[in-house]
Amino acid sequence: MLEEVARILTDPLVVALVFWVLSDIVVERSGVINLALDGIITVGIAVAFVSTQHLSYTIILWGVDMGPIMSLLVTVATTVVLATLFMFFINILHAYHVLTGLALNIAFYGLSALIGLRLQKTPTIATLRLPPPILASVGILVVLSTWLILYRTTIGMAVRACGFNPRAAEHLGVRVWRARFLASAIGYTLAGIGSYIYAVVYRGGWVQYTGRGYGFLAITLAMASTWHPLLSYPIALVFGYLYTSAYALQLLYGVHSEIVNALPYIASIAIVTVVYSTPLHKKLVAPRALGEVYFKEERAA
Amino acid sequence: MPRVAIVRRELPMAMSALAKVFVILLGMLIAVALASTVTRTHIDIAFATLLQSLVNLNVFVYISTLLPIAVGLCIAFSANAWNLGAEGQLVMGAVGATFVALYTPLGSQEIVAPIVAIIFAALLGALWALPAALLKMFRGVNEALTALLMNFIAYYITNYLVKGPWRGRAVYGYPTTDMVPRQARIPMVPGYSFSWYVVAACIAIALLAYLFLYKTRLGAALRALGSSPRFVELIGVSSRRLYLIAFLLSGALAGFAGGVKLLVYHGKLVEGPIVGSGYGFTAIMLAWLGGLNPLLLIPASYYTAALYILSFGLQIGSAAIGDALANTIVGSLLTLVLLADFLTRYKLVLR
Repeated sequence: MLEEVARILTDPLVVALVFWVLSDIVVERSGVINLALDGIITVGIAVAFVSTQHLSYTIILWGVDMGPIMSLLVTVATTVVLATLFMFFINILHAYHVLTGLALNIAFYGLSALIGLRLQKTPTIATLRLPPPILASVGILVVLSTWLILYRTTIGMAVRACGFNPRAAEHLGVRVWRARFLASAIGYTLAGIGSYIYAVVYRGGWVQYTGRGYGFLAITLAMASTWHPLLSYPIALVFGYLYTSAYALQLLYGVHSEIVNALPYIASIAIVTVVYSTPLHKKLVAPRALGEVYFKEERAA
Repeated sequence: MPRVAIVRRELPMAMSALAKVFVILLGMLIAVALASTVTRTHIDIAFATLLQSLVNLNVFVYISTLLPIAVGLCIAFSANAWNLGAEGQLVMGAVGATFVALYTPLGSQEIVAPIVAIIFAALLGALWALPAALLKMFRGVNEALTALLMNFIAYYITNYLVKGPWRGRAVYGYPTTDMVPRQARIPMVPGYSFSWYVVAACIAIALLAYLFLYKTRLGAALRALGSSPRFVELIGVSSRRLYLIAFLLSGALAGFAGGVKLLVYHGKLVEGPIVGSGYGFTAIMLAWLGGLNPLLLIPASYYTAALYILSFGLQIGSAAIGDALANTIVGSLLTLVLLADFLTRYKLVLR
């Protein structure tokens, strides 16, 4: 039992998933439906993979290869830039969140494949071996710090206010568009790190559209945890366990692995239904303005 | 320092239409430029391929899936029902058609089989849209997210069926069911993988949807629901019932598309992501490209289909590049549509 828990805590796939879920929570807490996450993660994974191939052993400082750090930076920069494009459409062009997310997703899937196919040298890379305790503590630390940022700082307060009622937030002196850009910068930094962990620490290989679907899984798990960072950790661990041991479960209990794969989505809808139907929704407050196009009326000159 | 402000404006219909046409031409230009750069073909060849794909009969393969879904979504989006579950409803439609064709005695009856299969497909599609609609109506849960999640449940259920209980007896390699009996299939045009019956049905659906949305009282109320639900209640129509109707209609049409796709194109149930292949998501944007008008969706779906064919026509060497290119081109075109939307609905003011 304890071994299983330790395995899940230190599984790089689960740690990457935790990063993605947290990234989605931060962005959706600011009131933006974050459907572009899936496309941006796919691009992030392709960039992490390609940049690792191109940057390893190019810069060596104090006898240490700076390649991994450089490619991590490149990955994070890519995801944040793409997220800024997404936010530009939503906050400046006032486009519908859902439409922007889906349109950009389609383009980003294509972009990721073009990057990977055109720039890869070989289809695999040597995975970066991180000691398990470091992986586990990175996961726990990022959960705690996201919670601190969202619930214990003024910035986090402003971000959550935008997600709950942007009009009221504006009256209290929060610039909604600024808070949303900020939230996306924080969120997509996490998403970039997650993509890097997935591509370089966990997977060590790339084929067309690697990572597609994980963004939607992250959105689902964020919804299942009612967009609360502390709740998201156990939920990500449970589904990470189910996900990584789907085949073992099939052998042990005869549950088909495809049914196990569908569980997070079914559970997420069930949890949300229960939370909304019981007084729990007063405790676990969801971002109520999720998906609302916020237009601040200004008089023409 | 001058400040830039964003102000709402209303443009006449003609101007907005002009903006869409401009976007479409710009999209073609981008498609040709991108395609020729990535596949390293000469720009003349890329342009010639574009012209060829505009007159390629294979556009109807894409149209007969994309058009009915987009028409359904048109109705849903007009009523402000963000049904993002078209992909799952499409897949469940295919599952329903397979069930009727393979596992009921009706499957071997001429003419009856395809009709019953498609009706059942539409019912299953509507059923798949129901949870998201009900949760929104009675609990206020964001329907976009729940409908989105239902897509993945549909994918995995289909995967489970083709790998488990429905796996064909004479199938090796990729998991699929047995072939649907010949009597249940819809006859294809020789040499192509589409059927004129289906194309005619799709265009009829678009016409009917136009008449419903723009020429009936219910349709007018439905469109008003998008802008002001209070008004709809005041004229004595239940806004909840309207919302449900819109949602279920879009689900049923997506299910119809899935059933038809199975009976014409696949001929057997394959894995969920292959049945869906993102059409449900493309159709969402297509509904927007057509300005939520079912009649304009006919040229819009034709155009999108031609773009798909263009990128596959140019694939040289590997199919992977063609697919990547198709996604990039269609995705950037749809993003351009959003930009055009902004330019027609808002203007920038310096002060």
